Amino acid sequence: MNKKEFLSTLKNQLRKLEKEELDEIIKDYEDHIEIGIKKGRKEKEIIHALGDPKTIAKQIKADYHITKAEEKFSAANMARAVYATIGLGLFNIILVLGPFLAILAILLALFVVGAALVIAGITIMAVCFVLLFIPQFQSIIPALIGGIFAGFGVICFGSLFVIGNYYLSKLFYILVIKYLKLNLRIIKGEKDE
Amino acid sequence: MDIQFKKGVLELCVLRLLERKDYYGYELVSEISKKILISEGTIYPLLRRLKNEGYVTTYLKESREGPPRKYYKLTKEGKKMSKELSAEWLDFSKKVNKVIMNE
Repeated sequence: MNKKEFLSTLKNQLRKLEKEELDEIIKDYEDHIEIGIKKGRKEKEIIHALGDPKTIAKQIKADYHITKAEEKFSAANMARAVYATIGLGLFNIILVLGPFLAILAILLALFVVGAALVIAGITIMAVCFVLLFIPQFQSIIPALIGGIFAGFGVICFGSLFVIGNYYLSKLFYILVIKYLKLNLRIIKGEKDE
Repeated sequence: MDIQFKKGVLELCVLRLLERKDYYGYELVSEISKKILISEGTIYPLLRRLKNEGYVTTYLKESREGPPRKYYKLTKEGKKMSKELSAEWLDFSKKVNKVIMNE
């Protein structure tokens, strides 16, 4: 591979990055190659020593997306960060995706339970309220009133689930970022020499 | 040397070198690759990450031999992290040596 191929492969792999970032990164490598040539090394040898541009690009993309996810609390940013980190090696799919999906499923389940409780509570309240006005049920008015309060209780309980779930999700988000950064430190990123 | 060892230790080596003096990219790469066999291209993403996390800053300095060079300098947090990682590594390798030597 020569300098032109190396840099164009790098540019292509990183085309989705902000222009400023991309230009800075390319300049780093251009300068490196230039200095190496001035010191008397051969271009091909310098490029070979740098390693595979695709592997380098994967590393840069993972770092970039994790930083973006940290800056802005967003599901899309998180998805990109997880995807880019997985892209660093097949081995990591188990380490990263497994726990991530499991916890995501739990959070979703908790939300569904919360929402179901709220709906159930509303239904109980509504039914009891309506029955209050039907003559046939006059005899059990105390029970119906009790039912209304019970329904309200269920709504509150369900709401706690949903609200608690929101804060739990935020905590999970922060923990995932920490976990992805940890992965960057220990996973394979370069070719064997 | 195993690749997985290298990856985590590379950060430590970079920080340690910068503790002694400011380096420009090429200089840092050749200094490290003298002792450890690595893909030299991976140092630059590492330096970017260290800069994003606030452990390192950069500045330009004129050079007689060509265009101005980008120098990397350790921040206060960087010095702290360097000392922490060094201590961790020394402790870790001491323990591993004990196991290997069967003490």
